[in-house]
Amino acid sequence: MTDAIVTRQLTKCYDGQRVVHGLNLSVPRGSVYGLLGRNGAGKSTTIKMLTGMVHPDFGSIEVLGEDIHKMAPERREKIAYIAENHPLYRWMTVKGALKFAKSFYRNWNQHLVEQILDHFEISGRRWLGRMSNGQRAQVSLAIALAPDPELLILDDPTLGLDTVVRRDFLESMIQIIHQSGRTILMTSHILNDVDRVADRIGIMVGGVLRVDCPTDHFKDSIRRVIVNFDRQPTSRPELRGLVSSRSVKNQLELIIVGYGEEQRLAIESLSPRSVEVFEMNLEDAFIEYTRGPRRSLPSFDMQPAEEPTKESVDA
Amino acid sequence: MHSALIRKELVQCGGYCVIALIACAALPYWFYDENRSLAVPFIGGTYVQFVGLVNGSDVLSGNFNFIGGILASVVGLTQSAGETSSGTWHFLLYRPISRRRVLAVKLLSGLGLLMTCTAIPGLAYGIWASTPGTHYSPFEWWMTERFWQQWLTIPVIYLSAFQSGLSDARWYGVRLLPVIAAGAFCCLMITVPYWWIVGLPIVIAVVSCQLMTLFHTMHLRDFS
Repeated sequence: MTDAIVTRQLTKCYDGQRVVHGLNLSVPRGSVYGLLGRNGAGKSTTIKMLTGMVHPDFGSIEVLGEDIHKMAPERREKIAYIAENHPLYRWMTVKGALKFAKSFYRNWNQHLVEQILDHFEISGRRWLGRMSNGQRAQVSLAIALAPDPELLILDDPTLGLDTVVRRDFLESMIQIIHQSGRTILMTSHILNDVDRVADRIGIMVGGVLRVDCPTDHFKDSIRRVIVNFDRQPTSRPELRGLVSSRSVKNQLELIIVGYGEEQRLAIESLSPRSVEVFEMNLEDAFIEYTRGPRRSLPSFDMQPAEEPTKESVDA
Repeated sequence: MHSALIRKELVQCGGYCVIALIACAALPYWFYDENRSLAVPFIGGTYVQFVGLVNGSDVLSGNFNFIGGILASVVGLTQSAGETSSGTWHFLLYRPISRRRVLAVKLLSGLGLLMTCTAIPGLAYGIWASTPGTHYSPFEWWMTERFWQQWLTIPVIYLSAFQSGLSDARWYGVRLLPVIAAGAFCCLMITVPYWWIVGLPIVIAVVSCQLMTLFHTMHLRDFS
C-alpha cells in the first residue's frame, strides 16, 4: 500500500523555537489517521504545512505522490481540507457559499451536497453568520466532500461542537468517507472521537512525533501498574518504557509502554505486597503518555483534624 | 472561478463604496449651502483643506479624493486583514487556484471598484459644472486636472492598505505605518510641479514596487 502523505525531516520554527522538529510522517492510503498532541505540540502547524498554508523551514512533503509546493493548483481538487473553526464567509447564505466553492472545481457532486444538507436538515437559504458552529461544520463537510477528494485533512473538525452534533458529524463522516476508501488525516483533542474513527494514530510531543502506530497497538502496549507495598516505597524502579510514576502512601502507580516479562520481573524484585495491571483507554493512555516529566503526587496528611475541646475553646 | 471571486470581492467591499458615494453626495450640501455663487468648480481645492469655501476656492473636489483615500484604506484592509481576522484565507487559498491568481483577482476587482467609485463624484461634479445655468462661475474641463491627479494617487493608498493587512505584524500601530506613509506621499504629490511628466512616473514607479512587494509577500507568507 502506498502512502497518501509522506513527510521527511519536516521542521518549522517560530521566533527561534522549533514547533515541529524533524517530522517523519507516513499516512497509508485508505487509512484514518489521528494526529494527536497537547496544545502547542505542533499538530496544527503540521496540518498547515501539509496543506501548503505554511512553508516548512526544512524537510519535504509529498501528498498523493507530489511535492505539495510544486503541485499544480488543479491537483488540489483531490485534497480536501477542513480548517479549524470552519472558516466560511459568514455574510453568504449556504447556497451562496456552495455556489462560490463550486466555481473552483471541475468535478462537483451536487447530489452528494444535497444529501448531506438534507441529512443535517440545513436549508440553502440560511445565512452562515446566523448558524451555529456545528451547522457551519456540516456545511464545511459538504463543501469538502463535493469535489470527491481522495484525501481529507481535518484540523480539529469537532472543536466547539456539542456531544450530539459531534457524534452525528463523525458518524456521517465515517459513513460517507471511509466507505469509499478515502484517506483521512485528522487532529482532535477529543480522544474518544479519534478512538472511534482512527485506525492509526500519531502522537506529537513538543513538535516531535513520539508515537506512530495502529490505535489498538498503542492502547494494548500501554499499561497502568499499581504496586502495593507494606511500607512507603522509598525508590522508583528504573524500567524500560516507564512513562510516569506516582506514589501515594504505600502505593506506587506506574505507567509503562510495552509492559512485558522484563518489567514484571523488575517490579517483583521490589518485594511488593501485590501488583495489579490495568488496560487503559486511548484517552487515559494519551494523558499519561503526554503528561510530561515523571512526578509524584504530593503526600497529603488525610487524618481528620482533632475536634477542639471545650476547654481549649474557652482558653 | 474568476467571476465568482470577483463577485465575492465586489459584494464584500461594495457596501463601503455605497457609503462613500453617499458621503460624497452629501458634501455639496455642507459646503455650498449658502455661498454657492462664490464657488469656482475644481479650482483651489487641495487634499488638506477641510474648511469649506475660502475666497471662492473649491475644496469639494479635494474632499471627494479625501473620502476616496479613506475608502481606499478601508477596501484594502477589508480585502486582506478582513480575510485574516475571519480566518477565511484558509478557505480561499485552499481552493484549486494559485495564491498569485487569488491576489491578482482581488487587486483587480478592488482597484476597479475603487477607481470607478472615486471617479463618479468628480465626473458628476464636472458634468454638473459644465451644464449651462447651474452656477455663475466659468468652467472648462481642464480645471478638473488637479482632481484627476489626486485621483491617480489613490491606488498607492489602496495598495499600502492591502500590504498592511497582508503582512504579519504584531501590533496594529506598526501594521498601519504603510497606510500613513502612503497618505503622506499622496499629500506631497500634490505639490510636485509638471505633474504629468514628474509626478505620474513617480506614482507608477511606487505602484509597481508595491505590486511586486505584495506578490512577494503573498508567495512567502505563512497563513498560520
